[in-house]
Amino acid sequence: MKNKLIIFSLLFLFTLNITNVSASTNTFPRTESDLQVPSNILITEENKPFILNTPKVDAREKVYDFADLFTDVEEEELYNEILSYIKETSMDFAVVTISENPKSYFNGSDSTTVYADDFHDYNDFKPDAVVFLIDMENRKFYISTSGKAIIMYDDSRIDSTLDIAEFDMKNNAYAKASKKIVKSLKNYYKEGIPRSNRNCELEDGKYKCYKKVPIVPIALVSLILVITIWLCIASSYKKIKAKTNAADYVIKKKTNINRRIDLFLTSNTSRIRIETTTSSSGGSSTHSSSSGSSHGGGGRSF
Amino acid sequence: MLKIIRAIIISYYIIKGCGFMNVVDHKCPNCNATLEFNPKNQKWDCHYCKSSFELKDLKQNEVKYEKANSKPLKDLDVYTCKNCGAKIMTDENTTATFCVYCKSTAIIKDRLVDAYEPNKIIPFKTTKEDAIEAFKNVGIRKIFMPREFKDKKNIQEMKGIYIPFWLFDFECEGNISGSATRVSSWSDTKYHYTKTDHYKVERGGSITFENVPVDGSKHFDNAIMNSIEPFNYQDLCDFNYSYLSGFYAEKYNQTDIEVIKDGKKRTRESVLDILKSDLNRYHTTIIDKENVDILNVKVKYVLLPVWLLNIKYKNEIRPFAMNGQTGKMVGDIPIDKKKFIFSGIITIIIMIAITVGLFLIGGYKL
Repeated sequence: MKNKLIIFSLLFLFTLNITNVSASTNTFPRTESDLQVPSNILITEENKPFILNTPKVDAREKVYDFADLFTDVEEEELYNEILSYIKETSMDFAVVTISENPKSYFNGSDSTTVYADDFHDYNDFKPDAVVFLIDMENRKFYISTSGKAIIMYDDSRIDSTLDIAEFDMKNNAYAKASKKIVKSLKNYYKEGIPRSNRNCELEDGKYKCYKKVPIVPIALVSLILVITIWLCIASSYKKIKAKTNAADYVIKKKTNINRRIDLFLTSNTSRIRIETTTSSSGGSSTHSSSSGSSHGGGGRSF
Repeated sequence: MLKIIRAIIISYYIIKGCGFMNVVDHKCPNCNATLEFNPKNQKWDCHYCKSSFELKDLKQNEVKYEKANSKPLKDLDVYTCKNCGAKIMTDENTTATFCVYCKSTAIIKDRLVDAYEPNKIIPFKTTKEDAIEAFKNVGIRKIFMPREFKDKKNIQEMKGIYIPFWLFDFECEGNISGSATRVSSWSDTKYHYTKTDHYKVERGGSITFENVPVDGSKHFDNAIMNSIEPFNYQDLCDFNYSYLSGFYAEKYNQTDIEVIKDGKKRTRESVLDILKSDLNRYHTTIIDKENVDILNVKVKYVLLPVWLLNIKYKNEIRPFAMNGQTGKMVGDIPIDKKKFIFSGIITIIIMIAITVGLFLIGGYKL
């Protein structure tokens, strides 16, 4: 009995120990002299404070549970889900939970958005990546997209992905919500680039949409125009034309239209409601982060 | 056997008679529309007012047909073409060496018999030089015309010919009826309204045409004669043999009765046009009944001046004709098909290239 108690207490301590280890995500200190940012980031006086309050993490971990919202098993499952996402899409994915948000409002973006964007930019993730952030301080969850992910996930895909997760988020099932988000985004990837972003691309990391030259209509119009003109020219070569009327020989003085009957029968009026059209532009809405790169995405409160 | 022969002779006269009926129409005594014979009830039916008549009722309603009197022609030579059968008249000082229509040289000179003097003539107002000059101008700015088309030696074959014409005066009575609509539309902040007023409409009246020309020559395409119209009839003067000297004249080979249908067709079309144009205050019109009756016809036999040049191009004779009075030149210019299609394709390609270029400059992408 005593032995059993010891074994149980040892096991309990052991499990506690494991939980503690996995809950504390490894971070590396950043200093003024060594900011530890990827080489493509241009350090300026403006973005330095943003770099300093962004944790430096190991980009291979993928799940960064600073707010301690996931259990070990959940974390493992989520990690595997993310690995499958990365394998499928060859883009990067990170799930981040925070209990305190040191960021502030920047350039039109709220602190949740700023944190998620900075977390991607100032760590060694791939340029094409998704960061899913659960911000417990602001009680907000947010999907930040970078690089190709901006093109792949337009506003409507982000919106419906957030819809899928919203219920679980409100019921504190954070791991479940996160997994659903990874799965949903993976499925969207399989569907290919959305119609709204067909003519969009990344130019130096910036999201840009362009219009395609309407080559088929141009060709058709040119064809019709030239055929019409050429037929007119051809008909101008043909000067022999039979006359079908005798209009030249009417004697106006002896012409008299003396029977005119205009009998009103009926009248009807129809009406059509005037449609006021609202134009929706579609595509992905983007903003710039402190590092200067473009991000897309969206978030909600819970 | 005798009965059969009699039946054939009778049916011949009936057919001949019917042919005559087509020319001289019967009119409905009620509404003046043209009547048609209905074999079922052996009566004449009016499609316009739905009444029918027997022959005795119609006798006094026949179209008045007046033909100007003609004296027999004399003192002229006639050249008959063995190839196409055209009969070309000349005075004794003018000779013909080839047929002006088919260019055949197999022509026989003879004395003219069985021909009538024209009532009127419009003498030539343009010279052969004018006609040659006008023909030279035909190809100006016609880039698709084959270069070899205008062969210099051909041009000298330009011949001045008086073409026999029948000039018809028609007094017509026309009626149309149908339905018409007028549409008006307006809007307020919520709705767009369209109001359609429906009317029953009818128009009728008398319209007179004078000197509608129809040529009396089988050898002349009617379309080419239509194309050199109009002639200015103020220059019509009494026929005189001396106008023929130096020119040819064709003997008519289609009588006024044979060609009147062409004149009637054009006249009928114009009557309907005039009546329909009186309905132009309506936005849409649907005519369900139309009727044109010709009440009186007068006909004159005249000679009108035409310069004619038949050009043989790729084994095909292309006629060019100039109105000898007004100088209007007509004829179908051949098109160099290779040049025509090739330039079209090049133009399409250039147009596409320019438009795509403009789009690219405007920030569009391929």
